[in-house]
Amino acid sequence: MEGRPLDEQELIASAKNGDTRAFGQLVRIHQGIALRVAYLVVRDPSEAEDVTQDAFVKAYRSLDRFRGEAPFRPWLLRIVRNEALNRVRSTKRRERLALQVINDPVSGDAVPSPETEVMSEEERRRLLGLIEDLPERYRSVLVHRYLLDLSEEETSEILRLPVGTVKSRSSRAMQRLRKSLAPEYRDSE
Amino acid sequence: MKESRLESMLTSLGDSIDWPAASPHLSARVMTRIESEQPTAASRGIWRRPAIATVAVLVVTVVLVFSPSARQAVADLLSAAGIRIGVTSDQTPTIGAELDLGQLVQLDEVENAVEFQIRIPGGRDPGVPHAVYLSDGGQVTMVWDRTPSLPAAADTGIGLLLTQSAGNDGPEFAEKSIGPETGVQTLMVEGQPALWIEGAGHTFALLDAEGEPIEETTRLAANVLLWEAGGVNHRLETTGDLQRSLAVVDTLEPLP
Repeated sequence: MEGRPLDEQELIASAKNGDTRAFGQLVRIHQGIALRVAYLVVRDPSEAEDVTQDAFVKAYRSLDRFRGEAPFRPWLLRIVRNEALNRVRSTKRRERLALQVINDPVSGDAVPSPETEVMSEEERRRLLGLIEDLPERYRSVLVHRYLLDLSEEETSEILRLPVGTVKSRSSRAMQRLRKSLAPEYRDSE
Repeated sequence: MKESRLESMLTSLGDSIDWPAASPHLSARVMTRIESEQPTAASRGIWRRPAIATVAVLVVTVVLVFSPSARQAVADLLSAAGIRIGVTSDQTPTIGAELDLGQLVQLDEVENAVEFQIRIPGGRDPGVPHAVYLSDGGQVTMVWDRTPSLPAAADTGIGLLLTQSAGNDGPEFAEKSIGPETGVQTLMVEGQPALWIEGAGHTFALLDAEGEPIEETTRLAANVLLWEAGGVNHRLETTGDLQRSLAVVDTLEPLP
């Protein structure tokens, strides 16, 4: 690659000026997380890809309305989630979690944290099951905040909730999980 | 801040989810689509050519950037003149589309979709809603970008938003966190206790039977009137004052 690669703000500015290749770079940067956000709602890999594709096209059309000083990722992911929700509503399905743990978390592009080593597959499945049993308003916050590793501010933007609500729902969700977990996982805080 | 063990477990759980991987064609497909929408010199040139006088019907596709009601009015006007207007809604998202209010529906569709009597403000102000949404939970929201007496809010572009949902014995109004610039006033509306929340920076929640918030009212960061009448919860969010909001309430009437 010649010269310095464009940073995200420069890519956005170029895309706003009609540079589709710059937008293509933005797609490649964010397509992984965008696909996950879509998948959380539509629960089908191939439909999630369709939704992600549509959302990127809509984002491109809406670039003029994007405020340059704001973070791009949550703005984009909100479009992705809205697109996914619209898709689900049009087919009268309810948003539910449909995630599965993989037997070998080292595979793929994920980098396992040390905790992965100490959690057995059974423990991971159990924790996922507990998350699935949470009311949707808690589950969606928890999943975006932790499973997708998004910040409170990003979660707030994507779910259109005040940051304070993200904090309080996250806290309540954690309380519920702690009640259901075995004592050895209820760390003292 | 030190991360708790449970937080670490949740983060690591995210690493072990069987997430779908983006296909190698995703970005290429997006590129193909957006490039196909780019105006080309050739296509722009078509419109500079002299019109052919013998064309019997002129079909023009116009992307209108006005409000939905304005679009319809212009469409009606031009259709009478033999010009067909194709409105491409993708270019200008429907008002309220980003508020996660539910599925965009037609007003006459919602009547059979919910079990309560929907009411709509009468008269020319605010007039016909510019968009109607139906949520999975059976909540109906009517949105106006602006009305003759209510300007659009600067941040959302919405002047008036009326939400109605089936009232149950559970939800009670509860103050969650009110900023110093926000005022809360109790009053009677349609013979029932009501709350008027005025000013910026408020978070206000309805509580469920367990006393936990089920909904925050912060969409406009403006003024909100909450009341229950006839077994229906109402929430009216406006950029106007209490008098203006009560004037809207006075005009509410069942859907014809």
